[in-house]
Amino acid sequence: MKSSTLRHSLLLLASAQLAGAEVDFRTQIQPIFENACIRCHSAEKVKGDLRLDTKAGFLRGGKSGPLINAKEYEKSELLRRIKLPRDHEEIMPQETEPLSGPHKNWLTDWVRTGAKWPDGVVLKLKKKEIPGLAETDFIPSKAPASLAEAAAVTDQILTKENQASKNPPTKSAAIIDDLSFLRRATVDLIGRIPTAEEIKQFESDRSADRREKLVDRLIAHSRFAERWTVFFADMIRVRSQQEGGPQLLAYVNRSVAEAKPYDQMVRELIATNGRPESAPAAGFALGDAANPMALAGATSQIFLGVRQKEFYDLAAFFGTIKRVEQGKNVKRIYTTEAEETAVKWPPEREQPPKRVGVAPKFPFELVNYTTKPNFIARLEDRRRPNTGALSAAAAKKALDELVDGIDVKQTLRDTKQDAAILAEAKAAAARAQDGRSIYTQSEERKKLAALITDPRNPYFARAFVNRVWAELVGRGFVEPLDNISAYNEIRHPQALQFLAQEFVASGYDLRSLVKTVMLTQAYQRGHLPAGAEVKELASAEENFTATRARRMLGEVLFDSVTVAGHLLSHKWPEGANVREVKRQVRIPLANAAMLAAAEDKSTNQPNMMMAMNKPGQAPAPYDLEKGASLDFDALLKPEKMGKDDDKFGDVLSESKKDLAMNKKMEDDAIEAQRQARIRLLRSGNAERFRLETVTAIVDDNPKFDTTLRMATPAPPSHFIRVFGQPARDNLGEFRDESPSLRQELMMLNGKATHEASRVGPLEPVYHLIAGPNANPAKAVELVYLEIFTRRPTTEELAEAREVISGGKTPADGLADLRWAMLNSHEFRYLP
Amino acid sequence: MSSCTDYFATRRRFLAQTAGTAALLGMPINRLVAAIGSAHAPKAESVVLFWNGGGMSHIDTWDPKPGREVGGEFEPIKTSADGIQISEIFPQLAKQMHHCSIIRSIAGTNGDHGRATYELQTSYPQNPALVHPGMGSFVVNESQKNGDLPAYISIGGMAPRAGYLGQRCEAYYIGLPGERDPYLAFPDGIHHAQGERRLEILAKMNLRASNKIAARDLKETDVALKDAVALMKSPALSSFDLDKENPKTLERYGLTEFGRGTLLARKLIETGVRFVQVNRGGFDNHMDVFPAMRNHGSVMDPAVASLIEDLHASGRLEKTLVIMLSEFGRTPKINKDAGRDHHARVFSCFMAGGGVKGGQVIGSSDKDGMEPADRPVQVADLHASVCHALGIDFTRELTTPLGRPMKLVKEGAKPVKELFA
Repeated sequence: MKSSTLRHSLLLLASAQLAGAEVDFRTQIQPIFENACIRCHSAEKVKGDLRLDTKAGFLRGGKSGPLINAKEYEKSELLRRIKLPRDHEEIMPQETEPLSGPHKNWLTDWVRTGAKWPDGVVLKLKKKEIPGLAETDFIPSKAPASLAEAAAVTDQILTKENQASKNPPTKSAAIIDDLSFLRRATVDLIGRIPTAEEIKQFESDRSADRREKLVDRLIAHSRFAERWTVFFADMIRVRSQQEGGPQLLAYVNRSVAEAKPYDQMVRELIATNGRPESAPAAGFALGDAANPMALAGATSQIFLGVRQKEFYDLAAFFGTIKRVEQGKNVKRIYTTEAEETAVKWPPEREQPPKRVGVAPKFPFELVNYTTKPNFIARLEDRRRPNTGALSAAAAKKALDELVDGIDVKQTLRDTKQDAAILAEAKAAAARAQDGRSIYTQSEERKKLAALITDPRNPYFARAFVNRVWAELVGRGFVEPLDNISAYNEIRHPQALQFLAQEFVASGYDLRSLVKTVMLTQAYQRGHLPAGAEVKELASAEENFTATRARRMLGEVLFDSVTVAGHLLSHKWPEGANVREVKRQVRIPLANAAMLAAAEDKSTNQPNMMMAMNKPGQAPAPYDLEKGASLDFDALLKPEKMGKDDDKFGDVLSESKKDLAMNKKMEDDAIEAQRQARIRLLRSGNAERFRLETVTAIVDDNPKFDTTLRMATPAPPSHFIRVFGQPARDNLGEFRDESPSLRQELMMLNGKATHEASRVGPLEPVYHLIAGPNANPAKAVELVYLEIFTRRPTTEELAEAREVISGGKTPADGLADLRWAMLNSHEFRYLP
Repeated sequence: MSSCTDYFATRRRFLAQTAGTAALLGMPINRLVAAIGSAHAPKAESVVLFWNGGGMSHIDTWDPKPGREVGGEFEPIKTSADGIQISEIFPQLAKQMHHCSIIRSIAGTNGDHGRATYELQTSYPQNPALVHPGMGSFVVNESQKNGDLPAYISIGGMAPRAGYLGQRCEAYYIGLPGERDPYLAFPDGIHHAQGERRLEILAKMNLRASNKIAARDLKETDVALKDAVALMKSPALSSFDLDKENPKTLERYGLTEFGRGTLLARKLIETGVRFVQVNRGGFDNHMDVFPAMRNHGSVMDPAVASLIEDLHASGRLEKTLVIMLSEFGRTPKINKDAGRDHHARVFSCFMAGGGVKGGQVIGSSDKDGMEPADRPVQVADLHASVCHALGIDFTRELTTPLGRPMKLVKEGAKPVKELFA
């Protein structure tokens, strides 16, 4: 901060000195107008009745009057608009980043000195340059033979880019040792620390490529999909409490588990309409309430890494999306297409006399290659289907997907056998389009999905690679991760481009990308030693010559505590920890019959309205440390509603179901319940209670579940939220890694840490610390391996033995040691 | 400088640079800044915010419309303040009205729960690119920590998020008032001596790691840990306990979660907590609004009135700003289900203490409570007023982690000066 403040004041000083100088229109002012203004203020589009491409237009001004106030130049509308705060409704430019400080100063000086526009100069929209693609000389033309080679090439490019940089070389950290690599890789790929068993397996492999083999094992592990579901859930903002949220989460999980190509997944997310129960990808649009502007923002920022303020052209692709809600008691919500676009120009806030629909136009340019690049050819090769290779089951699945409105033509194209399937699918699709289907699919969104995922789209693969790289290495090539722009430097553009090309060539395969990153030296480097200056750390991390000491994600930290403490199964025999606890309970003062009569019986589903009408309900103590496994498969099983599911019949059967329910709850019964509720509310006793202390018998022998399969995000005070899981309400929300008091309290005094520390008879270390064969040194070694994934040093061993002998029993002493280890920095921060 | 547990050394350094002189004078910086250029001497030191989620009907509470069709079933009653009438559901509060101010002309803009809540809590419209801090978070960010307890505590529900101010300014959350918080003491079965021993082992281990790991926030983690341990040992923790309260006091506040929460809020303020938010839901009364409001009255009236009475009796009311907010009001028109729907165009807010002049109504709505009639107050003006009461410079520009400059309160906000006349 100090140095940047200094730099900032130098800048200010410099610009103050420049202030006296005459500003040159052609070299200074014209580029600002061309880059930032005339996209919306020219012959093509005349926002606010203002044209800035000609002198006449500039002098005439716009709806808000003239741009220049000759008498008091500071009060010129032009200057007022560009100097407004970023969130202000009237700030200019609106469709790109606010002007930089120097640009504002130039314009100010230009206006101050008379705003002279040379006669006859007409400005043209400047073609936007795609950031980070100018240089390619470090990228080898020959495709790497393996992912390991791709990793090596990545390191070579990084080195060359560092050498070519004007910045001084940075300190570099050595490659981490085997056990540190095991811990780091296991945490990153399967979301928990390794077990003693896994350490043994890894250490027994002395082959030269043991790290690669480990990565292969981890990628094949069942928890890989769980861990990377968390990554996607953060990225696309999965919220279980939203409409379609649970299904979307299950869909993401299944997509990762099935190794669905990333581009296919994104096409489905963008283009799917339907009911989330049968078309779970529709949950993506429902997450933004099927709002075209929000979807345009999300699509661009999430999948392309490009932020913009307003983009009607892009939003117009979503213009006809419609969210439909049906059913009274059991709500059914789905997306479909409306007749008319909701994206209109000019915006409503300008209160125009007339608004017209905006036509979809893709605001990004695809790269126009003169010859087909090798990585695209490799992608096409990979996707050319083998004749006859499609099994009957796969063909049936493909058909189902097509009927569901998912584009699988790509994989079906050009094969004879598939032609028949395609014909049948087409017929089915035609039937679906004849007006009987209520889930119309959007042709415009399919086009958009194709454009976004086109291998020639320069943003799509890079944006994703940047995120995956940052997730693993701890820092992106571009930061913030979702802001690729000409105003935001890409530190190693060629390394990013190379990885992106390899990702495309791999068929957009997450696992190949992850493996490549894991095998780079950049991933495997240690941190700079303690005592390094913040600036040194930052520049080494930016150059990828050292890694950042990352804290485990909340989910991973919790799961690591439970794994290290053997809490995934019971570690005590039943009844070993029976004790009496006293608890306060609240006994309602209202008459029991009155309470019962007022209870809502019409539905057992959580009803938003009822939930909102209940005073804030708090979870029981320790509920904040629960994991819970959702049954993702059940969420994806289409409900059986009848033969004509997803057609009008569906709606009919649904309304029949509603009717049946209403019949059951006779109208007068509903009314009686309402009256009972009114009586209760008027009684003055609806919320009153007295406290009573009750005694309960508990057996402290808990078993914990993983937090990776929970509904997500967890409740706001839950352990994993306190450790940074984002609420995902907003775009561009990243994990908060900062420490807090609450985090410490939850670790120090939490149930999980406490139970993980206690030594139970059913866990391996027990016989090493209690009983005739006790061997405290071995016990310490085991807990060090189980908790820190390493062996203790001589000093640590001696200290640990002291701790053990200082306990009431050796087992108690060992529990104290484990508790301290679980609470320590070393446990939380990755090696 | 800040009572959000401020571990952010760089920021602290920055503040020290920019405001070194003020710090030398031994005066809270922001207060000094606010003192310059304003005749008002800030009196408030802490805030109790009652947050009524769902949109509380203004007509059935602070802005009765007797004799109009929209008036509903409640009669207005006289209060201890001359000429001010409020709804009959608040008989005890009516007796405290000489301490209280009501604003009847808030001109809201948003009828959607989520967006309106965001705006009422942060002063900013919701923005997909940035999370703004809620009122409690920015207040504690701008004031000094006072005592061991967390500076910002939310009772009975979730407070808004701290946004770009980060974890440090998040509210400490209390689920059930009076219930033992398991995270504030060693777990059952770990006695004091054993707990101390564990902390010693941990300190040794961490010290060793600090010499090994160059994690940037290790120091911050150390401070957080130190604060956590201090909190666990603090005698101030007894403020969380309601068991030792006089049963008569408990009865007076009401034998409800809300009553206990309000009593707890008072005790926390007395212990030095800067900002307490007491949450209550159940105001989204699209159906049967009158019995619902009758119940709200019977629960809230004794609690809030007792709070004001007690704060006044102990001389703390001057230093404590009590404010009651909801995301919007409800439609004057009573719908077919005997309910009222969302209405943002005008609604009311209730304030007391903290230097707010008692016994006045500011602004008014039109005859049916549809629109502001005079003195429209913008939502962000409320935030500016809260800051003003506390002596916080609400125009101060902060920097988000991504380097964006951001005003504490939305640009253009002005304190409602009449409150402090």
